[in-house]
Amino acid sequence: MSEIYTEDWKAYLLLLPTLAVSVAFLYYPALKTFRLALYQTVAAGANRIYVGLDNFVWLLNSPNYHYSFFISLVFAAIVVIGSMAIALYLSYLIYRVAVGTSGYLVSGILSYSFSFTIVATIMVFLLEPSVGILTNLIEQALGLEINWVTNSTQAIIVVSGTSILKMVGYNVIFLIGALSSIPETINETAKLDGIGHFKLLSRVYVPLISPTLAFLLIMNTVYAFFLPFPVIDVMTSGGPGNSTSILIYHLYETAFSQSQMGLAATESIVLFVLVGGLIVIQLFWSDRAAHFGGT
Amino acid sequence: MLPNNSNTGGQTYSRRKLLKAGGAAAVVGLAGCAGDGDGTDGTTTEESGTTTTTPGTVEDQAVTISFWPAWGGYYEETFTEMVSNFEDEYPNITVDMSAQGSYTESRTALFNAANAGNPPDIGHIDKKDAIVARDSGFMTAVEDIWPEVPTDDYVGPALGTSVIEGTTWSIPFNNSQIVMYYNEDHFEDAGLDPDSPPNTLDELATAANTIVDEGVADYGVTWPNHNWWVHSWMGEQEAFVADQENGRVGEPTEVYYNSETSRGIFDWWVNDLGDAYLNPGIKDWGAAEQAFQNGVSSMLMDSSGSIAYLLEGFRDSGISASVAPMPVPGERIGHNMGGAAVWVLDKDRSAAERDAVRKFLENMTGPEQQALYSKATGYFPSHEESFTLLQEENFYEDNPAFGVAYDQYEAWEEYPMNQGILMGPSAEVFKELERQTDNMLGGTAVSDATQSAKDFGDRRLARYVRG
Repeated sequence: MSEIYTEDWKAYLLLLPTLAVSVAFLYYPALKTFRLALYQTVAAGANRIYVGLDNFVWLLNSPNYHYSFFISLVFAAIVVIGSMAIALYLSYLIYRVAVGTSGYLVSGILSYSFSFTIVATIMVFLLEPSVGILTNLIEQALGLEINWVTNSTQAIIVVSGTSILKMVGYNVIFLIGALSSIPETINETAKLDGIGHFKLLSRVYVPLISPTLAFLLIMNTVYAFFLPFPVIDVMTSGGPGNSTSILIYHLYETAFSQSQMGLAATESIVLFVLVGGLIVIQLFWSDRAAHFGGT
Repeated sequence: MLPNNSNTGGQTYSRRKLLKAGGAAAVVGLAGCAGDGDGTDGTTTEESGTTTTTPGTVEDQAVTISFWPAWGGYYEETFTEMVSNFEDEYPNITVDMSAQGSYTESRTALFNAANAGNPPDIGHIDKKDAIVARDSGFMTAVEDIWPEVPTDDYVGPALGTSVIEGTTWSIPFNNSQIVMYYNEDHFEDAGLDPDSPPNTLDELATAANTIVDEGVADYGVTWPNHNWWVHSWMGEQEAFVADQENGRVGEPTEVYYNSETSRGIFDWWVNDLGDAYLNPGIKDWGAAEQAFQNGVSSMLMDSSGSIAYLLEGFRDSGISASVAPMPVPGERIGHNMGGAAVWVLDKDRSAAERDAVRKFLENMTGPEQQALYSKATGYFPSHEESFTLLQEENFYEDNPAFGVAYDQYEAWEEYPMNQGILMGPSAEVFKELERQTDNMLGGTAVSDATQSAKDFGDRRLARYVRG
């Protein structure tokens, strides 16, 4: 096959718009963030004093930030594992069901079509401790008192549950696609061998769709650290106390509730390094664990 | 939520620089005009939609100024009416109004717009943010625009966060006190006297627990977890929240959240009131109001600035709500005024624009306009004469709920502890108190949580720089 572009400069020319946008809106602001992290600011950054690494020292000595760091990891683990496990099981069921597949598929991915804010608002209507539509019903059915406005554990469960609900749809889309690409001969062989559902899923399908799972693991991790912000903002505002104040919410409060742009820039660097590090580890691991075909 | 009025800095800043460079001669001309206040001014400045083009006297020139009130919603209609009244009085001045979402959003939007070189003329800022507003470098002291500002005409309790170290930085616009709404039917059902609502914290705890014990409502009382309550109850006991007399005589270096007075308040809250209190969440005014409106709680403490819309809502829901003064720990001396003030943003202005801004401040905080705002909302007027106007038309007699709030305001006595708290990092320090309040209500020991709030506050105060 003949090459379309025989000279490098043509390729660079075509890449130029993307590169320009990336530099203007991504790399340049990122560099400015690194610089801003060295300043203590008053009121959105107009008055600034060079403090070197003092912002990092402040975060290192801040009990609230330590907790925020810790709860972000816990929250991410719950959301990533929860959304992927539920989505995998749902996808498997949808893949296997013979009748009404489209209906199940739409139901499975429906939550993803709503914005985070809407999903969170609906959950507040349903589960608000004193006036939620389902609160009394659940309390009577399960014999427990719902009060996630004051109970930290319940707040974490409700916020991560809502985030999982939102993310399951996204995962189902990819997993159904991956499962659908499995050759029918494998299904027939499995059926002839009489393999049970759990074994079929865990021993046959999961290894076959492992590249998709590796991709989703990375996407879900990024998601868990950044995107549930509206859920927390609408449902708990980081509370009770600061029990649901994950790093991205803490950063927002520092920047926009407290107008400490320098410190917020420092927090964004910490978050960047943390999530970037996790992605690198996951990529490294997925290269070994995921089966991409070939020998 | 991100501010909806933020601007991209680069573009606006360039334009500003360009205008500055190109308009150097005009600035000299403007200085001349400002000197005698009666010159002609044919220059054009353009910032934040402020355009002046018509030659003539300062009084006659067509001028547009911009005003960002902190919130819209229920209050926007009244703001619009007031602005319209102003424009009727000064037909040559047009006001470009843009309502923000909340005090926090308003402050963020103002700072961001100013940082981008495109601020409005007048902003509306929470009283607790007075120091950070002053230190931002984005503000012009009101007395620079309006040197003869008659501070004595404004109500004393409200001035505490406007006049700082002898400089009049802002003018109080809306002022509030905490009041208590109670459900008369619930009181009767619980065997309580609706004509004698609780006046002290002990009485409040007893009444709230009686309501719950009698099965009348799930909760006796609710109010948003907001620092205003703790600070007010500390002030009512003549206790400071921070050193340097609440930051009023110097830069504060420590907060007294672990003091005996503070711990006493939380002990009462967590133990005496206990489960009879519904915690709606940090600053969740809406959830508290909804709980009262739905009969989940029999009492609600809220701002007097919400009297008008709350009573309207309660009436629509068929709730027989009455208003009582805020219960206090002991003797009543009056507490910190809530609310916000109007500030002038720093920017290049022509003499005509400066004149328009001054007129706007004078008019909007004047007797008639403030009386109008007070009647429509429940906030106390900023201008002393407004009270006279309201009394002349028997407003308080005809509207007893407003009268209760007014009586509470009238009983306010001047102490250094109840004139507001001045500190730069108030947003963070106060928020930490609210977080720790949540923790106490969730089971953390009062002594541990109050110590944590103090430790955080002290560290943050030590780190604050005036810029």
